[in-house]
Amino acid sequence: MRKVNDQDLMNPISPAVKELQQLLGESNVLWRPDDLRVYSYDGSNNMATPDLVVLPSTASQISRIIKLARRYNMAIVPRGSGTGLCGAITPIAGGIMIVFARMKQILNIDLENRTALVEPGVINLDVSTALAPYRYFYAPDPSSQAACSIGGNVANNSGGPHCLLYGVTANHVLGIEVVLEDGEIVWLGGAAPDEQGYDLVAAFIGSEGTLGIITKILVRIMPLPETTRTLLAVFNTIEQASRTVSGVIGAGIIPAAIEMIDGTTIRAVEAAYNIGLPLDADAVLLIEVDGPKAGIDELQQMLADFCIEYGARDVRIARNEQERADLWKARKTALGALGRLAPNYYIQDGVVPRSKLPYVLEQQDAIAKKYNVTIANVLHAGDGNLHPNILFDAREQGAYERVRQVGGEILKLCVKVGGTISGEHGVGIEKLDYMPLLFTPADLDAQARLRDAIAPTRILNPCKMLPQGSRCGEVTKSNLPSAIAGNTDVWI
Amino acid sequence: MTSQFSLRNLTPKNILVPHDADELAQLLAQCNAEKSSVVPWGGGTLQHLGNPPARYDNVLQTTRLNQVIEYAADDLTATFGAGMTIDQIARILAENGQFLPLDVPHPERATLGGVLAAGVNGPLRLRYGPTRDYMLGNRFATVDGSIIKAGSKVVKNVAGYELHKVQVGAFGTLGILTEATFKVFPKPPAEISVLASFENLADACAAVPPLWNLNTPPLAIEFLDAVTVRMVEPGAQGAWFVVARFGGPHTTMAAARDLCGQIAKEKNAFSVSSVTTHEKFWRALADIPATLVEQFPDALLMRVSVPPKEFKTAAELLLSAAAAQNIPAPRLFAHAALASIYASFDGDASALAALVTALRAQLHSVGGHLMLTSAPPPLENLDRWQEVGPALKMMQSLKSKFDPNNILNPCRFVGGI
Repeated sequence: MRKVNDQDLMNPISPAVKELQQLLGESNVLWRPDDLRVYSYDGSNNMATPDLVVLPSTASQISRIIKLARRYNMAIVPRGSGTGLCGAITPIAGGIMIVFARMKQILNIDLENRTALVEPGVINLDVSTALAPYRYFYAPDPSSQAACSIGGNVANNSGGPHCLLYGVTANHVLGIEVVLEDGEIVWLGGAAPDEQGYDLVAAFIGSEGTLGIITKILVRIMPLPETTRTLLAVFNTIEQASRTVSGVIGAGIIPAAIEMIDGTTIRAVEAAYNIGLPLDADAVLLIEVDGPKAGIDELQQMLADFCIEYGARDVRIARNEQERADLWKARKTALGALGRLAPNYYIQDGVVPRSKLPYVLEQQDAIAKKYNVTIANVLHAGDGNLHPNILFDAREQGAYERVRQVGGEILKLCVKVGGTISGEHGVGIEKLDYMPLLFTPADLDAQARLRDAIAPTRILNPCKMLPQGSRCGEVTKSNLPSAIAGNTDVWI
Repeated sequence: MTSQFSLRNLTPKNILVPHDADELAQLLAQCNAEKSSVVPWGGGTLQHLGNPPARYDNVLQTTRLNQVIEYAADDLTATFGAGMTIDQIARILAENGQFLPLDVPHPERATLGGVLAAGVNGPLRLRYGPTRDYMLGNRFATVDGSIIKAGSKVVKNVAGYELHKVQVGAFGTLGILTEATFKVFPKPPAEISVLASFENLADACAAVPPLWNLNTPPLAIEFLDAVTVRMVEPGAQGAWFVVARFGGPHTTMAAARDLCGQIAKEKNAFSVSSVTTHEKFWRALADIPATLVEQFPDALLMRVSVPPKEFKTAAELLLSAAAAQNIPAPRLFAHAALASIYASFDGDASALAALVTALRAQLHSVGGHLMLTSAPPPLENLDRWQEVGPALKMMQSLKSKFDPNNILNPCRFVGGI
C-alpha cells in the first residue's frame, strides 16, 4: 500500500484529485493540508492524516471512488461522524477518506414492516426523532447518539445503555447495501425473514469498514413502550452498587438499562452541572424499566426495594419526563464533565460477567493505585460493560504510555475473569495488541479468512481489527501510527 | 446401522461418533486429508432440509458432545455442547427459572448444533429475535482439525468479526459446531395464549398487525388453517385461526387476554378462547413443520418468507397459485407477524414444479422468497433453495477459504455450495 509522502503530496493537478473532482465536483474533494487536518482524528487519542477526503452522494460514486483507489493503490477509509473511540477511522496508511456528510437521508419509513431505510450518514438520534410522531423508535442508543451516524454504528456494532434489554446494533439491522472492493453494489438481507445463504449481514456488522462500504441500511424499528420509569439510587460504596446490579440480574429482572457512575465522576458532574447528587456518595445507579402500564408500578417498587436491600441510602424516582431527563443528565454529561478533572482521558471498554463486577472494580482500583492514576468509572453495569476513564495530561512526559499500560492491565483482568476486550467501541487500532489475549493464532487466522474471502486486496481500511501477523497487508511497522508503534502522537 | 442416516436413498460409508470436540476435529481433519465427504449429524430432525449431498462418505455425529460446558445462572449466560438436545438444555435452564427460546420441531431429539446449523427459528422469534441474536459465541471445528473460537461468553462483545453468527444457518458447510454460548432469559412469571377462529382469510390476516402492536408485546403470533389447527387443538372449529401468546407479570396477563379478544372480535372472529394446555399446545405447534412432513410424506412442503406487511398477499398467492395449477389448496401454517409461512401442496409432479416456478417469480415481486423443505421423490431434482443473486460470489469465496476440498455437506447448500 502506498503512503503518499511529501514529495508527491496530493494537489489539484495530481491525476487522482483531478479524476475525483470530475466525478464529484471540486467542492466534494478535499486535498489542502488544512482541510485534511480536520479529518485526522476520531474520539480516541489517535491521529493520522488522510491524503484526500471525498464527499460522495451515491453508491455508484463510491463504487467509482473504490475503483480509482485501486488503480492508484491507495487505501479507502470510511468515516461517519468521527465519534469512534478505537481509532477505526484513523487513516494510518493514508489514502482516500470517504465521508458521508452528503448521505444523510432517511429514505423510507415503513411502519407496517417496522423498518426504516437510511443512508449511512444519518445521525442515530435523527432516526428516533423522525419516528417519534408515529410513536416508534430505533433502539440502539450509543451515548454519542446525538452525533454518531448509523453507518458508523453498523461498522462498529455499537451498543448503548438500552441494549441491556433491546440488544446491540446487530439485532436491529435487517439489510444493507454495500459497495465491494471490486466496485460491485450488492444488497444483503431485507425485510423478509429467513434469508437464504450465509449470513453476510452479520459478517458486515462490526467489520469496521474492512469488508465493504455500506451505502444503505434497513433498520428495524419498534413501537415506543407505553410507559417508562427511571430510578436513581445512591450508594456509599461502589461495592454495594455493583452487588445490586448482580442481584437484580440474578433475580431474573432485566430492566431496559442499568447504568453506574462512580464517586469521582459524580463529583465532576456536580462541579460542572450541579444536578444535586451527593458529593460524598461513591456510586450512583440509574435504572430504567419500560413496558405496559399494567405492572410497571410493581416492577419499579421491586427495583427500589432491591436497591435499599443492597444498601442504597437514597432512591429517587422520576415523576415526569423532565425529572427523567434530569436523572439521565448525570449519565449523559459524565464524559464531558471529566474535563474538569484532567485535560485528557483514556477510555476503556472491557466486559465482564455481571456477577464479577464487584471483584473486577476492586481489582481495577488496585491497578489505579499501583500506577498512581485516577480512574473515573462510567459503566453499562447491567451488561457488565466497563468504561473506566483513566485521567491524564498528554503534555506530561510519559503520561500517555502510563495510561495505556493501565488500560492494558484492565483488559487483561477482564479477559482473566471470562470477559472481553471491547463491548461496543471496537478494535480499530486501539485494541489490536489485545486481540491475542482473547484469540489463538488459529482463531485470528479464521477471521482473516473471512476478510480475505470478501475483501482480499485489503485496500479497505487496512490494518484495522486484526493484529499484525494475521495477514495485515503490506503496511509496514514504520508507517503505523504511534498507537501501535509505541510513540506518543496524541492530539492535545 | 447406516439406514437411519439415509438421505434421499443415499447411505454413508462410515458413521463416526467422536467422544469429544478434539476427537471430532481430528476425525474431520482425517476426512479432509482423504478428501472424503462429511455430513455433520445431530439428532437428524432437520436432515430433510437442503439438497442431497453430492458425495456421502461419512456421517460425523455430534451426539456425544452433550455436556453443559458452563452455566452461570446469575449472569444469565450458558455454554452447551453442540450435541445436547433442546429438551436437555431446557430442563437444565428450568431449574433456575430460565430458558432459551429455541422452539423448534422435535426438541427431544433435535440437537443444539443441528438447530443452529440449519438456522431454523420457531414462534418465539417474534419476541426474542432469531437464534443468532442471543447467541454470544461458539466454537467450531474446521477441516484442518482446528477448533476455532468466535464471539465471547459475555453479553456484549465487538472484538473481531461475527464469525460465530456466520455459522448459524450455514448448514455445516464451513465447519462443525462443537459448542455455543447464549444469553439466556428469565421465564416470564405468567403466560397466556388466546386462540381466535375466523371464517374469512382476510379477517384472520387483518387481526395480526393490531395484535403485534399491543402494548404488552406478544411472544408469538401464529396462523393456522383447519388442518394444521388439529395438530395442536383437535376440537377446534373454523377455517382460519390466529393464536397469540403473551408472557409477563400476572398483573398484565388478564389485560392482554381481554385486549386480544377485543381485537379478534373487531376483526369478525366467531370464537375466541384461552389455550388451556399451554405447554403441550406450544410444543405441538412448534412441531408443525415436522408434523406436516410426517403426516403428508408425498406432499411438497415449502417455507415462504415475505416482508411482514405482505403476509395476507402471500397467503392469497399460495391459494391462487394452487388454483392456477388445478391442485387442491395448500395446508397452511405461519409465524404470522414475521410472515414466515409453511405451505404443503398435494398434486402431480409437473403441476407442483410449475407451481414452484410461478411462486418464485411472484414472491420475488413482493420482496419474498421460498425454500422447499420437503419434496416427493419425483421432485428430488428441484433446487431446494432460492437463487441468492450477486452475493453468491462472496459465499462461494467464503466456502473455499474454509473448506477448499469441498468435503463438508457438498452441494447441500445454496448455489451448489
